[in-house]
Amino acid sequence: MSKSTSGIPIATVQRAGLVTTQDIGRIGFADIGVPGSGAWHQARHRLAVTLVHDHIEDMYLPYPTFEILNVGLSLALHEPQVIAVVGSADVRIDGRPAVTGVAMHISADSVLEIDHLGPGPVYLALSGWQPERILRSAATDSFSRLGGPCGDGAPIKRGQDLLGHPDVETRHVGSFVRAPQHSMNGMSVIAHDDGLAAALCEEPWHVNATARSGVRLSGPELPMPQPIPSMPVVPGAIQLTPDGTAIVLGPDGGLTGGYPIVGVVASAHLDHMADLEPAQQVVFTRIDPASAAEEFNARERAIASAIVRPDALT
Amino acid sequence: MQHAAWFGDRAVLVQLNSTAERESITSWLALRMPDALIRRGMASVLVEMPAPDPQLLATVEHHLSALDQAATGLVEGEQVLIVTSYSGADLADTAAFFRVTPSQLIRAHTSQIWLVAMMGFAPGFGYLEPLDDPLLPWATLPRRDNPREQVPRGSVALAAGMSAVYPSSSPGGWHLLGTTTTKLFDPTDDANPTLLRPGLTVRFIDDADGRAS
Repeated sequence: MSKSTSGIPIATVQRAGLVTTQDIGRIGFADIGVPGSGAWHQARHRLAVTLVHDHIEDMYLPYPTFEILNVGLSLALHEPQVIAVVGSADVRIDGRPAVTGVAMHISADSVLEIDHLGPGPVYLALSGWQPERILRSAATDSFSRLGGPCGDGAPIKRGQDLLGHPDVETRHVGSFVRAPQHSMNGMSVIAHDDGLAAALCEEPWHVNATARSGVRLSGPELPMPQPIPSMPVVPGAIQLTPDGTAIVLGPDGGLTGGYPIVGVVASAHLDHMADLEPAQQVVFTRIDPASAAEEFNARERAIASAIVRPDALT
Repeated sequence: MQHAAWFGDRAVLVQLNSTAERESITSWLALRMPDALIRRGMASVLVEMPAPDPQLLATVEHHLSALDQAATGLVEGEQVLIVTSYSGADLADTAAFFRVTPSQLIRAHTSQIWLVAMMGFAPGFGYLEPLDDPLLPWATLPRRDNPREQVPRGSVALAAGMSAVYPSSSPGGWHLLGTTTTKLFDPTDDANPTLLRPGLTVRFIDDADGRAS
């Protein structure tokens, strides 16, 4: 399997806010200290990828997207591509408004402009893009400083070229996302410490800051347990720090922690964390693992059936 | 039996009764749960599945109840040697903390067999704990009061009962004994990106000894 980048310049970055290369993540290396990282809002990423490709993954390598967290992204295209933007954004091709949630053909020598609206990340997939991969993944991991165009976890910058191949295949053009991606204010939590989790769910919490490393929240004063020996943590784990801040760990939150864990956000609700904005209120509710698994399966079915192909309409 | 508790909808955290159980429980569960990714903590083991599984806690508890305490396959047997130049910025202060000379500290650090207890902090960063009785009271040495903003790559360090090598330059609060040129993390190697793996043992070799012989 090839991991090195290949191909010709298909586009040049003309403008970029906080934008990184992501995919489903660097899977299977957590036991040797390499986090999964990957797209913060997995559903939007997967929809963007599925709009322009046949499958969510090729045989071995996950497909990439750009994750746009603020401002936006502008690309000068050098080769034809099939593209899709998923998320709340204004899109223009050569100055003319274009839509989100639809696979579109874009010709060589066009300019693609995406203005981030939010809340939450916006994803761009390009059908012929072949970014550099590290440990089988193109995910940019700011914690481990892995991935991205320079391999060091830095976001993309103006002037950088995207490598890949031209794509004039029109089979997927016109594919669209059927259901609007609904947003929620609440997040369900599987308790790890029963007492702390009950206290967490009593009152709303206030978002202080958000980043891919985690979302920091302030709220009611919880009983502060003793620090614990370093233990494995996962995205969605809710840590309680000595000053009373609750941190919901994100995809770049690291693999180990020494703060007490209140609980872990249900897998089906992890994406909602990516849409939180400072000053917003969050309500946590408890969920049992069996119900959480049901919600996860329902969400997987929704994602799998969310895309309508043009040939399905004829 | 060890206490196990849900850690989200796809993982269960097993609290260890003693750190000596870590390797036996990890290998016991890994053999019986091939789909699980098992990660070691200092006093816990996380059993993580690719997708939510409502039966996971019951499955883990079932395997723990059947754990054959006699079958303690502790260590893989493979030992990693790390040649170290003991010229670290904190060598003298650390020796003074233990009330020994720098060469006595180096002898203790190189004589101790270290076990890769867990990994994290950075890719390839292994938390090393003494496999047998500590040769100096390592656990009495706290982390530095002021963490360094930049610890050089390859730094061999000590804190809180553990030793470690920094695979890349990063902030760090451990005491620096020396440096190694051994590569601990190679992101271009898909099959074996890290030199260390949990369960391996490590010996440090003083490169001054190598030159003398």
